[in-house]
Amino acid sequence: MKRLFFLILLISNLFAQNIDVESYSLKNGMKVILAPNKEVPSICFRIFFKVGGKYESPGTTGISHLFEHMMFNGSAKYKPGMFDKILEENGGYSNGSTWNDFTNYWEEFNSDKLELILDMETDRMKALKLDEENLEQERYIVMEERRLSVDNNPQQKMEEELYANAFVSHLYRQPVIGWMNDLKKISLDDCKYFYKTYYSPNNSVLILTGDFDKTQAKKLIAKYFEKIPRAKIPSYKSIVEPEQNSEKVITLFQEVELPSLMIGYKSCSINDSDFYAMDLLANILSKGLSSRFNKILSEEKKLITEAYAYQDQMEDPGLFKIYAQARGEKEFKNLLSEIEKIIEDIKTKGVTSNEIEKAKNSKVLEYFDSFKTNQSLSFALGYYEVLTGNYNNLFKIVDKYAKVTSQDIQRVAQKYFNNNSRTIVISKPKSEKQ
Amino acid sequence: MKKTFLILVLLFTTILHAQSNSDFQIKSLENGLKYIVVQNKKLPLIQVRVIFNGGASLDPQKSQGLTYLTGQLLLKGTTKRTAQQIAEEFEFLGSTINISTNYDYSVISTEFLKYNFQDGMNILSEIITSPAFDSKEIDKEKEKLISELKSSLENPTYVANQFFNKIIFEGHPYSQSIRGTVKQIDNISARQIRNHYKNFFVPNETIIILYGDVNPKDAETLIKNLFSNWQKGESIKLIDKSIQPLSNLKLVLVDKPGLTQSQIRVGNIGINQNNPDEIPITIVNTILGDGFTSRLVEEIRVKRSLTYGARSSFQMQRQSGKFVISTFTKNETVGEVIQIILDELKKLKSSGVSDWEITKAKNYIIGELSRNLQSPEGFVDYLSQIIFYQKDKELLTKFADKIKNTPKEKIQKVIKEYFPEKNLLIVVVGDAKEIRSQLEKFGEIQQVSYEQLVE
Repeated sequence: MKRLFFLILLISNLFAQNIDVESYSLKNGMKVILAPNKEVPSICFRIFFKVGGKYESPGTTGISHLFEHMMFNGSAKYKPGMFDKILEENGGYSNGSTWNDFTNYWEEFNSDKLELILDMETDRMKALKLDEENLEQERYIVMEERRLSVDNNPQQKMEEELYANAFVSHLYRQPVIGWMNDLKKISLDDCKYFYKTYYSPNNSVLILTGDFDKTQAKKLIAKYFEKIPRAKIPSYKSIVEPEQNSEKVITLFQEVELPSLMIGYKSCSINDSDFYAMDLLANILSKGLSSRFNKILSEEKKLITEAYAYQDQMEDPGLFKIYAQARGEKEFKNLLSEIEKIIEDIKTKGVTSNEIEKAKNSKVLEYFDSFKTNQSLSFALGYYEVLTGNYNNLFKIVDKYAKVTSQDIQRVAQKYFNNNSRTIVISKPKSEKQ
Repeated sequence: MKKTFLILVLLFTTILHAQSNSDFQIKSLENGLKYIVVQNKKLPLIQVRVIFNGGASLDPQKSQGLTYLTGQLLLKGTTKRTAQQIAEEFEFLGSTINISTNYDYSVISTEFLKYNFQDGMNILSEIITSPAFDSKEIDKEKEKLISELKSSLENPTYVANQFFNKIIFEGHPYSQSIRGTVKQIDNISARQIRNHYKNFFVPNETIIILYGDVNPKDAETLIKNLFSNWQKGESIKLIDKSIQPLSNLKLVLVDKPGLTQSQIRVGNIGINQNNPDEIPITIVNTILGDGFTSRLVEEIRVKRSLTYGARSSFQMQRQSGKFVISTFTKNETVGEVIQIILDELKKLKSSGVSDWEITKAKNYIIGELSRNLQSPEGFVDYLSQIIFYQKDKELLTKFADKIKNTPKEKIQKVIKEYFPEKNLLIVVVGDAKEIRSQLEKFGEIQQVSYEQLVE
């Protein structure tokens, strides 16, 4: 079976070599990545800004995301509401998303509309309509988004509590969507400062994928973006989270039917050499019916409805998360100790060669997801450029997973699965509150 | 505007060419198993869909969840291999397998790296043709499903959708719970499951769709080798019950204490999968509630900031479907949002739609579909719908033309015929003590507890 994986590895690498990608920088410091591909006659434009949850000062949490909403509400040339209307009437689509480490916007549209899109994008980057009306409109929409995705969503609430408690100093402790009280208070001045500071060409990466001519695209990008001046961006001071020396446990009483728990172990950054072993370990623990969690916690012990393990993919060290929902109060009692037994087993014995090969094969399939559409490829290129400093790392991930050994997995399990550096959030039905 | 259209039509046809170099010919084996293979070498991947006709509509009223449970149990061991062996060997290929059930069919979905295609298909054929239905596995699956039903009550969106469905299709199998109820799942016997499989999971009611980097001839040989011995069964006879739209307003308040935001659903019976007016209806629905610039988004989100999302949709099934507007808002503004929805439906009926809205909607639909078809999953799922429901094949090859050529008169006509204005079903999931008073003005309130959904 091993031989088969190396064949797959070889073919994945050959596949990557056939992808045409070029990158360069404009005079104002904006990074550009072009990946033309004539198969589908549409283009995806995407722009990443290096700003997100971890850049926000206390009291203004959620500003990156709120601001992302405001970016669709009109600029000097394109009045409020026009951005989406122009796109949709031309058969296009646009959206944006905000994360801890970055914010990104994208549009997909017919190949002949590139210049129109560049005009619209540069207009909002240079001259966004920043007024009370825009702010107030989006403030209340985002508050509804928060009610939907966090306040009335018990699992998300647990996740918010997990990060808020696991991190003392690093701003990963702040929810990207923002605390409700901060959302109420963010001012127009806060937004103006934010815009001026972070939405500049030297803080961004532009990606084009799809059906365009490279020479023509380069000319147009220079014509529209090069006239936006570079700005002085405060250097991001990477905060080193102080070592956690004892376990933290938080109990939430919520509107839930079943008890559950979420554990966060302090883990590594996407740029750490341990990342690939940790990520494979998450896969071995919880992906599929043959995963350890499903085999032991569900099939054998009948304790859970669902469980997952996830290694954060963030620029600074994040968490390795484990979530499990118990089938009832009785099952909940043994849940943590059974999870601990599984972890202990890996720490002492490592994982089997079958498990590791399986996880690697699964990663190859996931890798190809990035190449399925213009939108997925533009995201993957931008993501690796912003988080790892080079989009080319996208093409190296299969190799990096391939190099991980069972010893590596055992070593990282021993290194990171430390009870003193974990935070546990327990969620229980409100009715159980004494 | 006309120029744009030409380009869009071109765009759509080109995508189809890029996606495949094969015709869409449906073939079958002697036992009646239908299959279709579409080759596309862009990625070294192969998408697989296995569609079993029938779906949850087959469930007896007292054994809701039977089809779903039978489907899940396909993965729990065969006559040759245990559940654990199946899982280990299949997932070793890097793939995961998923079985989902709706009212009309169950479908197995998976994806293989091309190098693993044959190994994967071997296991898949075993799963399909010789499941073990071991009693211990059945008990385990039932127990798990019961907990999952309880867990799903934590999700207000799910609760709202389920209640709307249950009430709008009352008296028809479409109103039943796909995953059953706690009591009914508990009562389903191993024998019932085995018989259900024997009667309904038969080759002559199954379609296999393969899409990706696969040689059609090789795939055909493989399908013949793996599935020719699968025993043919009786044809499925589905209950064909007519479904009438509501003739009075029905207002249901689902009490779920503690929520700070309420889920709102407004609608009525819609159309089935083979309605000849699907395209003009989709155009009007897009104007009303699809995309970021629809009337509902404009009125509820953009102008008043009362929600994060609002949409309307026609969810089509074989015998009937539903038309539903979905949104949510903080408890204080539930009444206001419902009023806006009712006003918009009234306005649509009385004033119709503008030429600009029609053009925008047509372009948006064509663009959206083209984008969805880029991904292998998007393409194979769209193809599956067309094949399973025996829809007009031109929906695949000439979709853009069909949309472009839809005349305005037809669009205005479907507004009268299919878009309800009164006699609606309104379902609100929220904290009754916080929101009930706002609902009183709309009609008589029928209040139920959210827990009734799975009892």
